[in-house]
Amino acid sequence: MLPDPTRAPARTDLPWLRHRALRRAPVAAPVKVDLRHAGRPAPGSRPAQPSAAHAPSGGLDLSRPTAPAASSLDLSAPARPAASLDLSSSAPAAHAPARPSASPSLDLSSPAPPAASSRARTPAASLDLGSSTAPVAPSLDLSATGPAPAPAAPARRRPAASRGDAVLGYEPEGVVVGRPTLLSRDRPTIALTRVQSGVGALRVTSAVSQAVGDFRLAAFAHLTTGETVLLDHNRGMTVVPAGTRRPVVQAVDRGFLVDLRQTPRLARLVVLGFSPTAAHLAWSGALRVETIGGARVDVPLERDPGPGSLVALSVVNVDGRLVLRAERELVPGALREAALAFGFDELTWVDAWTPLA
Amino acid sequence: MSWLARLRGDDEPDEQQAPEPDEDSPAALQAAVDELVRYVNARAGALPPAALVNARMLTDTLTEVVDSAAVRPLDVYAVISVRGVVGDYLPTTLRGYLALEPEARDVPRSDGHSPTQSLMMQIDALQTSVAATLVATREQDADALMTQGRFLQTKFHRSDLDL
Repeated sequence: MLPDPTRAPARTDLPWLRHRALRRAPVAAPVKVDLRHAGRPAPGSRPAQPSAAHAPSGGLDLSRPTAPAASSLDLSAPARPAASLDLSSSAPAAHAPARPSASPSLDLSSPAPPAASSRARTPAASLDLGSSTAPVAPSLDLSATGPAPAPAAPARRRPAASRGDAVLGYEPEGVVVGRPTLLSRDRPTIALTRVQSGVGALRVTSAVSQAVGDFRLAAFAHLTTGETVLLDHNRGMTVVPAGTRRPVVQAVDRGFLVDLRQTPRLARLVVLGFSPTAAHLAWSGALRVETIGGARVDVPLERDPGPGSLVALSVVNVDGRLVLRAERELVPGALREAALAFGFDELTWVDAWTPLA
Repeated sequence: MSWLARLRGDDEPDEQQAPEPDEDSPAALQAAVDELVRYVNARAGALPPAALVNARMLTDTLTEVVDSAAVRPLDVYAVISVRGVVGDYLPTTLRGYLALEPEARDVPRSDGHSPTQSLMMQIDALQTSVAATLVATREQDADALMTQGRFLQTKFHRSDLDL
């Protein structure tokens, strides 16, 4: 007496069985074609490989007498207008299927479309599929009931300024490692890559001759925390944030060091040259900006002789990329005027040259 | 000139006044662009970094359009475009954003966009417009060069009718 199927224990081996069928698919997929009695091969067509003639069952055996026009795959009959595969015809399309190794997509054992499979099961067919009892998975089985694929994740939308995202609205020029890049009026800005902006350190140094005069270098830095600091090595204003042991920007002799590991904390940096005595300077020379990775950017300090502060370079952090720009802006007056001219208006000044620390 | 001065035979005063400055000259346009750059820089602390950088790229593109006047006079449409962006569109956009309280700049409005997003989109739209103007200007330069080439070919090459 058969047990009640509703009370039968759950089958836990079904996934494994399905998995096993999928692994056998590549073995049964190639079609074995025997052309020994298939008549004269088409001119130019390659004969079937000998190994195909001795293929075990499961291949396509055409050595038996063929039934007249019962199969959709007739390798000896003349070409039919449709739905037939004739390897003896001279049609070029028949060449490729005659090579078993080149026909992995021709899987006649698959449970294909209903019409084709019903014809393949007719007794009079010349198409011997061998073991027809065991279901063989096709090489391309779209009906496989294996583990369902994970639903496709929604495509990540690329940020764009045209949609209001706070990113660059243009494709910036980059820095070629090993070749200095000169920022000029025709090409005033470049952008470091995210890797260049986040690894190592950025060193800014000045190369100025004595003929320029009483030249000094200073910088204004604005952090994402809202802190704004003047950096002037000659006056002991050397780190930002003030008093930290792990500065984001550090003033060194004739230059600055930016810790790129802390790039997310840096919003803006503006480097300028000035004369502490408000003397006229014969502006010449350049700023050199270098990364640890070998990228180098030169910013000229060329302006007509005059007093004031020459704002030479600005560095802006945009979504993790540092955008460098040659400003070339000579701001008349003291450091306070330069700070106001570039939006550092949160500093409190003791006098025109000294911010309140 | 009064009738008395005319009777006395006085010389006519010089009525020729100094010519008015051409506001559409390349020098005037560049001065306006430089003034806009200073305006943007002075408000850099209140602008989002991306908006600051994109606005400066816009001024760079404006400078390129004006610089093309060194090759051939600016097209009237290019002048109108530069004038509009420099004198009206970008300053109005920036002023409108800066007039907001900082707390309100990232709050979405009725259209779903925050003022910061709207600022980014407006700057991007202006950049697209000015870039199109620059492309048109350069194409005119290229067309002028091709025309010059055809002229030189006609002038200095032998005619097809020569034997």
